[in-house]
Amino acid sequence: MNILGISAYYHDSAAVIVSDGKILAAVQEERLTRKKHDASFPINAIKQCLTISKLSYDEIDSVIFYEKPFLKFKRLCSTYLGFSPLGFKSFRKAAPIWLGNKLFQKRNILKALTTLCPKTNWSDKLLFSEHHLSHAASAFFPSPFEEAVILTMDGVGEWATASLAIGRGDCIDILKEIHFPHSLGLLYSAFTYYSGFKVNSGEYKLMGLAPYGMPKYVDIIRRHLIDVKEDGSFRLDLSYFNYCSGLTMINKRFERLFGQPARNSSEPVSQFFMDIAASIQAVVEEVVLKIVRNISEETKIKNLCLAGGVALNCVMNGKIIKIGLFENVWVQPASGDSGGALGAALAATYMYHRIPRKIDSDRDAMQGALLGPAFSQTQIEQDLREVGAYFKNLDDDVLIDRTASLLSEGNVVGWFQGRMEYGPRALGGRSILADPRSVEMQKSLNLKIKYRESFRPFAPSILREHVSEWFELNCESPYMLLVANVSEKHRKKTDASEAMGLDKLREVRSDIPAVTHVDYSARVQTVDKQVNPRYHALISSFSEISNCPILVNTSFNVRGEPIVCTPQDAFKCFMGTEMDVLVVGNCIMSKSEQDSALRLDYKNHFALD
Amino acid sequence: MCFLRRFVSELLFFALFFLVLFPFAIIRRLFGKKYVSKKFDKTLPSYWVIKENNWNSKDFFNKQN
Repeated sequence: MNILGISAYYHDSAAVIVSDGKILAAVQEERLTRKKHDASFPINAIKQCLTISKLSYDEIDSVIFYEKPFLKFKRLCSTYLGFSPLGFKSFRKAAPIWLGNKLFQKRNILKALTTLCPKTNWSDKLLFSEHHLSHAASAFFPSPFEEAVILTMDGVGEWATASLAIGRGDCIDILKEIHFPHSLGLLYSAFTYYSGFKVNSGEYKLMGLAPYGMPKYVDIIRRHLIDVKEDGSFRLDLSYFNYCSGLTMINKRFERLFGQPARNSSEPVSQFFMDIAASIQAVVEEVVLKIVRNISEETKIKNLCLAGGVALNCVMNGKIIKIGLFENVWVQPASGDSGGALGAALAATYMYHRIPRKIDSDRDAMQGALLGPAFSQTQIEQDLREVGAYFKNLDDDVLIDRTASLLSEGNVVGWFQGRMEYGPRALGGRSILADPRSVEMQKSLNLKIKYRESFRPFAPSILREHVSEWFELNCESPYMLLVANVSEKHRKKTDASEAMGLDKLREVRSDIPAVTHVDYSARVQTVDKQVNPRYHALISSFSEISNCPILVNTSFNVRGEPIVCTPQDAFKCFMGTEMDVLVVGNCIMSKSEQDSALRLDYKNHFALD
Repeated sequence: MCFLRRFVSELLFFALFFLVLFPFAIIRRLFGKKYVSKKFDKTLPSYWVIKENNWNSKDFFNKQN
């Protein structure tokens, strides 16, 4: 039974192929069109998924869209009816899009599928899931659990903004929901907007900013913006927000509450906004921990699965692990809307077609989230030759040792191997790597390679078997979705109490300063030998040289650019930044040996996110 | 021509919102219809809304609503 799952028309469209419950391919459209958060129908991703899974269009048994368009339209109408006469500006913008296009999503999907394969009767094959059911399915079905509590939280789907479900075997029962306009995701996005970052993409910047501030505004938020019940359920006071009836997230009343206007994105980030970030992060954690405590007491189930955009808040995830109410916590790596395509496909497999679910209790079904396209060595060489790259071919062992040695000498390496990752994180397939022991590395990577804000931290990839030696973490974190502190023995004493705001960046806090955030935390990725053997071998080789089983791992892109997909994308990014070395498959190339005429001005190539 | 088209379209959406949607909403709201909750409700013990799952029927996945 082959199922094609699709998410599209909002942001982060994607396609996934699931065959008898096995995930064969999952690709985000943005990686192929090179438009960040591309929302268009994932025609390229579908083609790519079919190529990867070696299936023809005729072999697809069902196509499932990740949400129900009519329910979403009903919510939109109810919102305008509830807020009118306010909301004309928003109505003026949304109505033509819905009436002219979005309301006819079934027709649009069928039309797009028909262009791909005209002879297939797609109409009989098309199914629709619910947004939060798709998230819940993406969290539970690939997990290694027979039974789990599922918590999904995001901005909004149809009506639900959060849902609580129980997954058992091949069935999911959603028990309860929080409904729009009350949304933890939208609350966080409102603060993202207030802090001058882009909504739907800058939320992780706010999370990264939080440790620079003090949670001074928690009481104001609790008193005026959100009412949280004992069971963690919540409501927002909509008189401070504008997202229901306007084109912005917040209104003047919100700004007056905090005594400062919203930050302009070009202004430097002041201490005030760092405190704001710390405050909203604290409130979100408080709400989620209340929910989690309550469901643990209510259900007594020992496994927890998380999905939805809010589940990408890895600081929050780390706190859930830390309170220890659940024996196991599993977070879907593609927790945002792109993951909806996967969830929908799995829901169709188990809940519609009733294919029995096979569970491997030792390992999740995500295959390290390495579900995208891969390139053969011949293809890589041909692609690199076409773009004029000068490279050398090395055997596996020599390549690994040479790369590890270059990393230990302080070089920044573009690392392109095997299948591309599905979800927002680079996990060793399309990564930029560096030495975490270097004091200057964080600043250098942010400013010269990623072209992004200097306050933003980098994540460590560590060999699974060494994680508890270096971090206060004793479980797997293969998808970089848990934050844990650097262990005491690797910390350095600092005068941190005196430093404020971005000055905290100057302090060397540990033996691995490039991946230690100002509060000693790190967004850890554990690397397993079985899941990603080549990446494991590289870190092992680096460890032999440096006694440090860790590498800095950041996504292979610059600010505003989708993660690279092809060898040519990788070479362009390499030539447009200050990266020193590029390794693609078995090909290795250094910047100094490349034709200088191939250098690109990459800094202004992509719209900043 | 382009200006005229834009003007007519603005007028249409204005009329749709203020002459159709708004009066309809006002009347429904006067008769007690609550479209969205906008404020806290201290009297409620919980804000969770119980979900009735209906995906046991195959129909659930076939419908857009």
